[in-house]
Amino acid sequence: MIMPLRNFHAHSLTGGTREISPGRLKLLRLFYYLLFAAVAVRLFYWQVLRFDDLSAMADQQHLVNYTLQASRGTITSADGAVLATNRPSFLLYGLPEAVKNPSDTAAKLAAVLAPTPAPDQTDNTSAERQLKEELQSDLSQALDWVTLSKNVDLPTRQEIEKMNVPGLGFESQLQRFYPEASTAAHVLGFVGSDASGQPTGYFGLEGYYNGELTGVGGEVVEEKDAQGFPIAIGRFSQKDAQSGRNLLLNINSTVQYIVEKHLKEGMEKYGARSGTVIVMEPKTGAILAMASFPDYDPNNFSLYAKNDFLNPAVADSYEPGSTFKPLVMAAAINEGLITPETTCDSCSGPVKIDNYYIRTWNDKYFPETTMRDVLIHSDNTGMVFVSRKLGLDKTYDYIQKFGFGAPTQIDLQDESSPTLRPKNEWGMIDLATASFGQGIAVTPIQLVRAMAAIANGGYLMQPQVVHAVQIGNAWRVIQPKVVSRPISSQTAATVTAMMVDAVSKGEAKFFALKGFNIAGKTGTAQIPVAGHYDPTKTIASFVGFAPAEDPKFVMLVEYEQPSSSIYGAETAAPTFFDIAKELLAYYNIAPSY
Amino acid sequence: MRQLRPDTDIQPRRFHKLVKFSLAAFLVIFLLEIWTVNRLATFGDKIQQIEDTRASLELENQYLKSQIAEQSSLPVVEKKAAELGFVPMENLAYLQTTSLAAAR
Repeated sequence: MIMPLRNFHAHSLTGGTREISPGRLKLLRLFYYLLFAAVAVRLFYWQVLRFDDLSAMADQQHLVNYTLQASRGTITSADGAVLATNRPSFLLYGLPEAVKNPSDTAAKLAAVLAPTPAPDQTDNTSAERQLKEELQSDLSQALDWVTLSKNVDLPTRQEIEKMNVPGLGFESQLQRFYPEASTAAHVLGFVGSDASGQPTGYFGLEGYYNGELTGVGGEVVEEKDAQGFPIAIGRFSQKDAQSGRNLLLNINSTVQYIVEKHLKEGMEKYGARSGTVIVMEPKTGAILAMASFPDYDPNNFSLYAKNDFLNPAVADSYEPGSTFKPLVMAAAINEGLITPETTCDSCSGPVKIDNYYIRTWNDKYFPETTMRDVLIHSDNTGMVFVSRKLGLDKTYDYIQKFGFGAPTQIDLQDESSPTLRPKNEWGMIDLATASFGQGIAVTPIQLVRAMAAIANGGYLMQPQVVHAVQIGNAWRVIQPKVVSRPISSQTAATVTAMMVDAVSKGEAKFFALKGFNIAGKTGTAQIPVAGHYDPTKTIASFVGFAPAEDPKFVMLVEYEQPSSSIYGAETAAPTFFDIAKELLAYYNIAPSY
Repeated sequence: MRQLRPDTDIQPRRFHKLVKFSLAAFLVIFLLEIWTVNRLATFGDKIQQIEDTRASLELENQYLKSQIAEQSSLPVVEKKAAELGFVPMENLAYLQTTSLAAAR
């Protein structure tokens, strides 16, 4: 209510009154109005004009956001063994300014963090002393924050926390962990860091399925008070982390274990430089086991050379030798050019082609030998006869039909394939040598897949390591894929019978399993060195499937440069039958006779 | 003789009572809300404790799962089996179920 201006009387301390003039009152009123206006303007400035800036500053002080790490998908074998998972690990950091006694702290930490001594070492003192010096140096730096140790596991963290040493802290992270260490290492690959430091899979399944396995991180935004505690009624938002997709493999960990055990034993027994075994289910293309030595431990991949990571089963090429013969034989039978009883009219001695002589492996010749006996005796001259019947065009065509010269598209990152020389570059000698698996390069997986076509009635299957991918709560099963049909079922059955004879009557008969019909073929291929073949260096191999009447598995065993014997019949074949014996028992397959 | 108050006098009195009651209730609720918010605002340390405990238990679970996977691996199982006296299978014999001995 505005008071009308009138004369006011002011009371003095002496008791008298004095008149206040209206002008002064007006001035006073104006002063208060201006003061009020100034406050209002200032409030408007801070609360309206500067609202965005100030609320952003407040958010910066109170709002905290942190990422939720997504776990990478697990990889599990067909029989439930976890082959790749995640394990919490910690980065131990120190705050040098908060550490009162760097020497004492370093000594305590070194006692816990020092590496475990190797079995042949009794004393770990020097390693512990060296670690203590490094930690003390780190803690003595004029820095706010220093890394002291990486990949600290949970029990070690708990031990350090019990020490109650001020100035230490942990940052947690999920580390890729392979519980079975080097089992199926080449198949699995490993997880390293990419250029930006993000976890990335390399080689094998980790590389091929990196996108599926990698999760998507989440985020939490919440308000915290001055002490760093969350405010219950404050702002909060959370975006959940999405874990990577899990993989279920066709690989059976028991079969894998059996294969690796025997392969390792064979490497030592036969003195081989390297060895590879692949076991595949012929009807579906499912890879049941795949092993190569030397291998590596993906838990400590940084300790190995890059060459160790490539999977020889899918990346290394070699000349298959006599293991290629059943395929050429199948081609000729499929074309109706020969039968198992067809006789060779040029097998009585070495065959001359251009300036070369094709001989048998043992320089023994069987005039009028049948095609069946050609496989039993692994007769190179008989194979030259077959290749002449086929001719270059058909031979080349069937080589391609069986999948050679192109990758198999197996779901492993490191697959590569040697290319076939163009047909117009082949001479007669190339046709002849290709018939017994020399002068042509293949990968182990290509050979196994081609052999599976004979085992399963003529279908070329796409090899597959992963059986299913988990998406949410459901599993997406990867169906077997028929790539082509190079031969008929009749041809497959005929060649199977010939290969059973090759096992029971050939050079590997001494190692064959009694009671089972096993189809197979030995291979002893010379290794080309500087333009010629070194007779002392071979790839010794054996490929086969069992039981022949209803094959459960097709398997290739290959040794590079075995020193005890160069022959596949004396190295790879025994390993094949040792593994087959255990597999037949594992799959509860009874003898046929 | 006592005069009765007219209805028009009673209604304003009730209205005043209602207003006073509403104001009192509003005041109580207002004070209650302030008290509750104040209490919750300082619950942060309890929430932090629960979050820390949950994180710690999750880490421990993950670690234990990885330990189980490691201890369940076939190389470890084989080693433990050997320590317990188990031996690998050597000679496997198959019995014909049609034979008389097996039938009995």
